[in-house]
Amino acid sequence: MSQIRLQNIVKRYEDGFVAVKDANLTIEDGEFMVLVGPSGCGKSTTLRMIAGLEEVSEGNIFVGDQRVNDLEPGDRDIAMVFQNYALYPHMTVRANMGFGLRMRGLEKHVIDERVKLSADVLSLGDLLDRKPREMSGGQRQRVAVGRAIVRQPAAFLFDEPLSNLDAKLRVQMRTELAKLHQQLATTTVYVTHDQVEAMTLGHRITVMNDGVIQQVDTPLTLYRNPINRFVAGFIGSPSMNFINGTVVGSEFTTDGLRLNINPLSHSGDAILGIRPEDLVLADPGTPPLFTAEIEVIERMGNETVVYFQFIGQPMVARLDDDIKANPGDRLNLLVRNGRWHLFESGSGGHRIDCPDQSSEQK
Amino acid sequence: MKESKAITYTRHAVLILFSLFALYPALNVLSISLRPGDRLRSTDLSIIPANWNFDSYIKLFTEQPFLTWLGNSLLVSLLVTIFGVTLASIGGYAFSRFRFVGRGAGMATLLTTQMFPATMLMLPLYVMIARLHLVDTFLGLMLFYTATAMPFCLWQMKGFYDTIPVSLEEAARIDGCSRWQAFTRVTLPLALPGLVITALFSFMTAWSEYLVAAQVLQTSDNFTLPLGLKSFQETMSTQWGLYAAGAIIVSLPVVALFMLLSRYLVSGMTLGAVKE
Repeated sequence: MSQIRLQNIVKRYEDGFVAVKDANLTIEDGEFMVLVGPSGCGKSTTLRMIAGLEEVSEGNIFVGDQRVNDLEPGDRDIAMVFQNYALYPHMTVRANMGFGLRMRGLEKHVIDERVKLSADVLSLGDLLDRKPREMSGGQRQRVAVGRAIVRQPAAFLFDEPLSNLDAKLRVQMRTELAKLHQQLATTTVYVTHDQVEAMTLGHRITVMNDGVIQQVDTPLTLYRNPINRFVAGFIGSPSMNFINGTVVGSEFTTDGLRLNINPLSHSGDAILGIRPEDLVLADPGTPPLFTAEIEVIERMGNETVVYFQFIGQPMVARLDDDIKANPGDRLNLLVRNGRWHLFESGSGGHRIDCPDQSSEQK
Repeated sequence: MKESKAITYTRHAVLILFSLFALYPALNVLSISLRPGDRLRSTDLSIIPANWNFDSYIKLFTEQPFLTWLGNSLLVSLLVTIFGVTLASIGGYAFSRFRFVGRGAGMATLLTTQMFPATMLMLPLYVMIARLHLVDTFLGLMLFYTATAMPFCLWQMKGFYDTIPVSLEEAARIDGCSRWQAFTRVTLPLALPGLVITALFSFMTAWSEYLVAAQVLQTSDNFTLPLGLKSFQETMSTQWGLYAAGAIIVSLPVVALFMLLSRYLVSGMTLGAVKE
């Protein structure tokens, strides 16, 4: 087990495209770190650089105290699970799992023992003599994980390991991976574009966009205090609603909406962010934050998702399951106490801190 | 959907007609090889003629240097196969996996060479082989055969490797393989059907080739089978019995190879149709 440290990592391709820009990241010993972001954000490239499958253009990568930039993938003491499983089709499950140990010259009885142990952990015991093509997707994924844990490496790297599975199996494997990590406590770097996987599995999450690390923090901090508009919009589903407006004095205003926000030091254009789950129906008699006409209504059973337009912007609210409303009806909405976010309107969209986030409608 | 009887009959009639076209010459040769004496024509329509015998075959092996020619052909064909498969398996891998200067141009050039008829290359090749002092040697012939088979073999292998996911090699490298080990232990075994097709093609390029062999080889001791057979054709008379018997024997290994390898051949042909 080891710490993994990225120091000013840059990945520049020959055509000049920069996939990763000056990434600094420390993954602590035993930590489960999730790299998340949209397609092409550089998360997979980062993982592949740690694995040694991509060359590092600038910067250093350390596994433990050792600088691994120039080491072959096989010499880095890491194991990787691929999105397409990458099982050797011509080998049995036993041979697949034992391959890495054989390449390291371990004795046969040691290999057999360790393969059996890992197979038991993943309940693969009955499948050891099968070929990959004779197994289901879920079983193959399990073998791929087995091939990684049998090596007892310093760190596990996962490259979107669940995205080829169907929804039900994905949830099941997700909990199994969480359980496995609790048992083994091996340093893990896990790449996904699925923010539910990120939130549920990660001790900490690294959010990337356009090759730049946006924010590294625990799932709840990312959710509660996103550092900029990108992180705010990426974490959470359905994603956060954004409303363009202006800060004048201690108020955020736009057509049909006024909110007391009391920013430390900001005036002029700004963007208000409200998560769909932080919008609630206003009690009759209470002045609403704003009024919206329902376009589409989805009754999920446990909640009701309402889609509407507000000053030309599509917005979503997750409301109680028992609201009585139909498309075309007008709803009076409030934001939960202090559960709003304020961002700069520029391209960076940085968070604007407001010391006392208790909202009062006017 | 059920088709009408007329269409079924027409289809079968056409197929049978073309089967006859394909089969008649082969059966005729078989028939000639079994006839007593050197009779090319016969009023007899049966495939196995009356009072048939193996005289032609026996003469072929006892009175003619047929065994020498067979040995020459086997030697040349097998070496060309080994050369061809080795080079194509490595070269095709490079074209499939690496991005290097001249990759696109190289692939295009290889393809272009396939567009010229072989007869056009005959003269420059002969001059080249003469300059290298390789006239009337197997080495000269093998160089030519390997070179002419190589473009097809390289494209074939490249296409085959393209269907094998790169992540398998990456997994192998993380499991401790060097690039070469990942290639030999993971990729190459998976490319077996491609290798078989490449081997078959290389073998056949050399086995039944006549034109080039006729330019390069000059002494009868060095003849390959097609040249040997042709030598039964003399200015005044042709020994049809020997000719036919030899032709049958030449075709046997190819038929046997096809039957042995047809399983791979079919899977090889469907490969590349669907990408993972």
